[in-house]
Amino acid sequence: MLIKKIVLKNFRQYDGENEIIFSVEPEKNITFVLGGTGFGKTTLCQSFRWCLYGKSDFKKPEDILSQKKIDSLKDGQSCPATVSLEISHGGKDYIITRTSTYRKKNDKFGELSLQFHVYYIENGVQKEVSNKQEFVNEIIPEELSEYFFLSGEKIEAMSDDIKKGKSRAFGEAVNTLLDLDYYKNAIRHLKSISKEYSVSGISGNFNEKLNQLNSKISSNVKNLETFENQMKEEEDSRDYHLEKIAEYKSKLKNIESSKEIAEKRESKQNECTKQKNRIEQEYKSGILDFVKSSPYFFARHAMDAMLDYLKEASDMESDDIPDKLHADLIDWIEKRGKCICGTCINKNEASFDLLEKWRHIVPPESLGTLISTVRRETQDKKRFGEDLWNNLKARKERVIDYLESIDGLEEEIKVLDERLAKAEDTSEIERNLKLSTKDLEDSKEKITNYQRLIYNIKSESDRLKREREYLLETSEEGRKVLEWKKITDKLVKDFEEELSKDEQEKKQNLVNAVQNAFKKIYDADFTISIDDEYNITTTSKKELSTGQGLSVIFAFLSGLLDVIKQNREENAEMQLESYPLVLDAPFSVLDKERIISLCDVLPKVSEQIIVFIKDVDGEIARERMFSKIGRSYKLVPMDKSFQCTKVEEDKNGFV
Amino acid sequence: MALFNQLYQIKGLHAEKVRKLTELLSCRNIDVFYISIVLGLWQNLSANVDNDSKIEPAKIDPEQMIRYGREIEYFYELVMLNDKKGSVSLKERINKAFRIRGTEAAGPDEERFTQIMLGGLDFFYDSIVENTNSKEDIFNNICELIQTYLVTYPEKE
Repeated sequence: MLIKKIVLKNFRQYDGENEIIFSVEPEKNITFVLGGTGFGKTTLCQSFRWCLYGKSDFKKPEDILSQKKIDSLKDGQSCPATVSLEISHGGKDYIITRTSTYRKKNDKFGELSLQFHVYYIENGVQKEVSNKQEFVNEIIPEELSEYFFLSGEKIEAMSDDIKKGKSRAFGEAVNTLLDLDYYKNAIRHLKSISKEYSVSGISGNFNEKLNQLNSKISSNVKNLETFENQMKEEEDSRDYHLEKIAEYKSKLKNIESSKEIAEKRESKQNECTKQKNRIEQEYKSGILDFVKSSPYFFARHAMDAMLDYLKEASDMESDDIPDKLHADLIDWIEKRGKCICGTCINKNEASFDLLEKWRHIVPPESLGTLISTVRRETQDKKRFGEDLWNNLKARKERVIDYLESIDGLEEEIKVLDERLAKAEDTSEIERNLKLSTKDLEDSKEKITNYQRLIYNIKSESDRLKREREYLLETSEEGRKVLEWKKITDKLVKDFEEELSKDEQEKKQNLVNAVQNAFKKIYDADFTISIDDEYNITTTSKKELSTGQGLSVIFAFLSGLLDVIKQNREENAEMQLESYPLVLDAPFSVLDKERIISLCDVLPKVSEQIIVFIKDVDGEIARERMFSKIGRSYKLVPMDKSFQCTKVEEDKNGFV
Repeated sequence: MALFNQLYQIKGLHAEKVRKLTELLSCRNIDVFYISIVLGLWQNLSANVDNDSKIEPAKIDPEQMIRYGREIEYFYELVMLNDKKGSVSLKERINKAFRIRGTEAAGPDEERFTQIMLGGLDFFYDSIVENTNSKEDIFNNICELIQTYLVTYPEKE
């Protein structure tokens, strides 16, 4: 297949009609499209896939229609966006056209209709191909298309895979491209014939009986296959649940659960509350201390003075007063008029006045005992207030300690809150673990049931096969059938040998071609190899650089296409077509040296190369590949916001 | 013994102050009474009885007065000995404290004792209740009051 022309109508930036004619000349197989960032290179690359398969990376359907048309449409009006490809394939020319019509309604856009046509031109007449999408898929299967319409992002993703050591990107594609399925399908078919002991051409009781047995065996085989598949699925499911259980257990073991953090937080919060309660208790007890002790604390100075006053009063009372003297004795002496010493006591005499003075300072009017009691009492009461201030100070210090502790705890709570916000909710994991455990049990039970069923079917099949064997061996017709089976088995064996040989050969050719291409592109100290599954590996011990990764990709593509070309030359009847390679910004991550290396090999990679390239890399590439450029175009933005781009042929861009 | 064995009433606005203080300090009327006496003595304050009859008096019932009679008597003795209003001699103050106390002749002294207590109550209320919103505020006001006292009468080593 070669792409001759693309026509875009109102397709994204390409407002109105824009056309690019691609070079199909073998010696000048490169078409060069130069454009700056945002000019529409990726859109062009995607337009191929959209036209062929209706697929694109554009998010909304209306992203297909040109912005200019979107802006100009009035409510109720519609407008089509079309991409048309003209290709040559198998000696015929085809036109593939996809049109999507959009209508504006209530300021929203909806796809009104989608049309897809494939025409071929025969004797100048345009005829429509039936099974259009199947036809396109035959030319380039959709699953392979991404290797031939390579976007910058895809190239980078493939390169990343390869850089990490291994890429499966090509493995799936190789079988189809090398037509190995051709043999594999034949072998599969012959094996099924051999198994079924096909007996068309033989009639009678024998055939009826054999057919019955075959039918039962075949039905058993189908059932067996179904149950084995179901059991396999169930085993996969069991393995999946086992993996999940291990994963959940590991997660639960390793992660700090939100439950644990919440528990820690609650504990800290409780401690914080305790400290706050302690503070409250200190205040309460301090106030109680104050109420009890402050009357004596604030009375200390007055008590000290009181003690002094009482001492003074005591001294005053003790002056020249005889011990044990009582007012009753004074009364008796005054009444008698004579002292016990014989002295006469008369009123108006000094002795009488002295006795009268003493009357006020001896008992019962004496304060001596009272003063002593009050002094002792005062000493005691002073002690009541002694500790008040020290106690309050101690409480104050404890309050400060508690406050510091609360600050620390609140800080910890804050940190725990942050961790809690980030922590995984283990309840979800625990729930999943529970579910997976139950699913695992269910799976195990189902597997046991399948094993039982399979055992029964196999036993039944063995019995039927023995019966069939007996029937075949004991009749003339049966012996004929055995002979045919022998021939079929021989055919299967021959095909398998052929396939193995062909596959080995093709694989070796592919390996050689890829390695040769790689040598041309990159002077590296490692080599590329391809494993049995067609995965690319390298012998490099280090991770590859971006340039190395890209070089591996192009070497692989180049090698792959080489092998396809060889096959086509060797087996004309297999009709293996060449493939175009459409590349979007392939040089953007390469340095100048690598660009030059790649430019040398690129024209040889495929019979048709279409390159959308950035203007920065473009000049180097154009200079290097100038003699190979058959057509050159440039993308010209029509406005500052790059909403409208025009394709212009660059007459100076090629010879 | 007019003062020490019968119902004691703190009247008018002073009664309101007693109620507020007992509420904030979780204590009894008699506790506020004791503290007010010594604060009045320390600050050398006195206040007249507010006879506003519309306000329910704060009461210390006779049983309590009798039970704590000696304690009240002691504070009375303390006040009488330390109150030097009118420049009375020590002998007279001794007589007021120990001899005249409880007699009919003690009426003016008891009035003076109540005035000192009421002066102390005003001071106590202002020191504790003003700008108080929490137990912490009360605690801090108490500490401040004590520190003020210690400035005048520092603790002996």
